[in-house]
Amino acid sequence: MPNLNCTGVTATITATLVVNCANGITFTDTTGIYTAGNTTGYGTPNSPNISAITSTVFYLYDSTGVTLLGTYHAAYLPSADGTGGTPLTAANFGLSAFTPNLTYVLVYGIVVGATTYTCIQNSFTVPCCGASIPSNLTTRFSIQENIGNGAIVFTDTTGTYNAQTNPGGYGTPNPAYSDITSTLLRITLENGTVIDITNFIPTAIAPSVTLTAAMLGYTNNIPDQIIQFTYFVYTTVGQCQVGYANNYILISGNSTACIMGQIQGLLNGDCSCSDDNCSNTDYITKMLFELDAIKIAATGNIGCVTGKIQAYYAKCSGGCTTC
Amino acid sequence: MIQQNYITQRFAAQYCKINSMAKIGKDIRVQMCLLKKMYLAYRLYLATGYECSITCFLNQN
Repeated sequence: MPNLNCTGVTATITATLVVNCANGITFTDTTGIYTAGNTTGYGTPNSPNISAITSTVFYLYDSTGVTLLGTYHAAYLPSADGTGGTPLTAANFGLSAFTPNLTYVLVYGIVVGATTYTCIQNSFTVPCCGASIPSNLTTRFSIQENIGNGAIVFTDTTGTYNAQTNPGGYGTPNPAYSDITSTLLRITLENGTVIDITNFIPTAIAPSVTLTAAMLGYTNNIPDQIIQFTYFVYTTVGQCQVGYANNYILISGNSTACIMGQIQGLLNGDCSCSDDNCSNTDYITKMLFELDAIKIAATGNIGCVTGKIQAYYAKCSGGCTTC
Repeated sequence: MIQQNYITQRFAAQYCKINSMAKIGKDIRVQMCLLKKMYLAYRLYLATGYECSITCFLNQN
């Protein structure tokens, strides 16, 4: 830790250092002036008097307190009531930016005459505020549909770390399941509606969350469409992002239910027309192939099936069209 | 899995029957249509599990 030089200062210098995403870093000298209720404040009988302080100095060290990273000579002066702070930026110390999730040591000095007194130091960790930090985590997810699409199941399939079989999994040397403090699952429907799911924290035994039609803004059925799923995984205090995955998923449960209903009808002989020439069978076989083709193509090039599943469902729900 | 085996065995029997018929030049259109229906029944089984419509169809054919 840095050597402090507080000899001659008899006031007890106190301060707060507030570090958060909303306001950055704010330092406040909370010492205040000497009063009956603040007997350790600046001024007689303590030293120095607040009026003798002409400026302040901040020294920024690395986490060990050994390497001085920058010095900021500030115009900031402590107030008599110990309120009113000063923002501290990376630029103040000649840095382009503070490093997210890195711990620094801050030393505060008051300048009295030709002497700088350094009486306190504080360490602080810079919040990520959503920024990512290096990690070997390989975030993955899958989507499982139910036929009929009353709900879909989102599963974090990253899995548990294994040096040979899953080096990108959760667990040492990567962030562990227990390190996850929050996630953001951003669901973008084809109509542009964005839904954020923020209450899902995966574990090894419960890596899934069920997304109901209601959660996606539908009454009781999720229409077939292409949905974008963007998944962020955050860990440690300060919203550090360690995992990210993004994928467009074809939702086709209604179309699947429709063609399966058609097959059922065919096997039951429900269609009122004759199938002697196999036309219904051929038609439904072609329809099944068409759905398979859309699904397979979607895994290779989602862009080329845009609008296809909706058209397919409209066609399928028309029933035994060759009758 | 016994049920799935039943479907696949029926499908295999039908497939082989068509092969045999084709070899001696018989008209396979009707039997091919039945094979397609069996294929559809198999796909229905994969999607929904074994159900009445599949059983009834296989028993009748």
